[in-house]
Amino acid sequence: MQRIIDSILSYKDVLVFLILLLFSIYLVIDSNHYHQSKLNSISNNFTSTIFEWSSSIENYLNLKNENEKLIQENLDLINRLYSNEEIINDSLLINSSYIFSSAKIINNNFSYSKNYLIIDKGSKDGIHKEMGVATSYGIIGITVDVSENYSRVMSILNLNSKINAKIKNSFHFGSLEWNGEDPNIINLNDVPKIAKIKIGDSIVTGGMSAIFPENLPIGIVSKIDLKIQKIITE
Amino acid sequence: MSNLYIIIAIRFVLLLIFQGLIFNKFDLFGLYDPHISIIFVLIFPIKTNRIFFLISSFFFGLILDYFTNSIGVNAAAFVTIAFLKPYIMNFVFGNFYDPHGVKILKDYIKDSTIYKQVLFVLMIILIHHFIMFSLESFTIDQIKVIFKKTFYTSLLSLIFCSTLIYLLAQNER
Repeated sequence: MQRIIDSILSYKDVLVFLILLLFSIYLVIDSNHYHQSKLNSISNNFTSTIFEWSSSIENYLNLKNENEKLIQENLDLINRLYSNEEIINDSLLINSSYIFSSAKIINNNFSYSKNYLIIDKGSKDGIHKEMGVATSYGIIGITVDVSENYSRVMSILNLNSKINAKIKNSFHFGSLEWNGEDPNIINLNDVPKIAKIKIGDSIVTGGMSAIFPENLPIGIVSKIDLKIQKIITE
Repeated sequence: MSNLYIIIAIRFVLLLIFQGLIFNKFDLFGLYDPHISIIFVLIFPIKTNRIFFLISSFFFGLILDYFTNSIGVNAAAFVTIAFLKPYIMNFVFGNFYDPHGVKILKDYIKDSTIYKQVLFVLMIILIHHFIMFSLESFTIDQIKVIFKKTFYTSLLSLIFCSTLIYLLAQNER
């Protein structure tokens, strides 16, 4: 008996390695099947406070850029307000069942295949799962995991992300999916062949799901591939 | 002896903070970040208990995962390179694998050519990045993207890691 234990102990390094490796792979599989894995919820608050601190430093250094972006955004909104055509077509103003609230992104990443963002609002601010998240430039994702103070957002730059999108001013829909390669290019798949699309057309949200209102900007068509998909720049 | 553990603990915390908050936002071409966190494994003292090395690398990888929302990916990669490090050192530097660690890392660096040093660092980086990107996407169709990301990120990490190691490994007693 002692000899068996001794011979097992002589391989203790390999055993410890295998146990740790299998546990890590279990964690990977667990987080692949469920967006909200248990460890995530525990860690969220701690690492998110670190992110918030670090992003507040970044924000301070970025103030000049932020200001310029806000001025431009204001200008665009004022222009839309005073352009009569836009008011009729823009369902954002007519459709009052969508309420917008603001949040700051405190962590973002595009280098992985499954990218997530963290925003600084959580359940105590009224955020819950499956809410759409967007910037003034376009949609960025859907919340998947909400803790009290922070929320995790599944980016559209995520292999699992499938969002309903359509060509602006038409009724042809497609499915917005990312192929993992370029963070500036995302694919619009399953668009019917009869749809007349040109390079430069705008792609906007379709409004078929309750998550995003219709006509939120997504991107512009940069390449058309008749076999399978059409491609959009972000 | 406890001085060594304090140094390891300092490296643990500092490398996590630098990697998680600064280097993860490097975004070369919008995609590639250098992974200097690998230095933790590369300059970990050889004289310490191997199980301690494995467990601390595991936790290092796990906490790094929290910074990137990728639970388990870095943990698996770090524990693998921690396990394989002695075998790779044996392969590259050609020395008899001595579990009681008479030679310290500085000796290995002093006595070998620059090619061996670069090869050692590169092998560990390649294995880590390949495991990391493969587990992260977890799909076979992405294999071309995985190879491309591994290649470019490894080059980037190699440049940053080599520079930092050259500065840090001098301090090991």
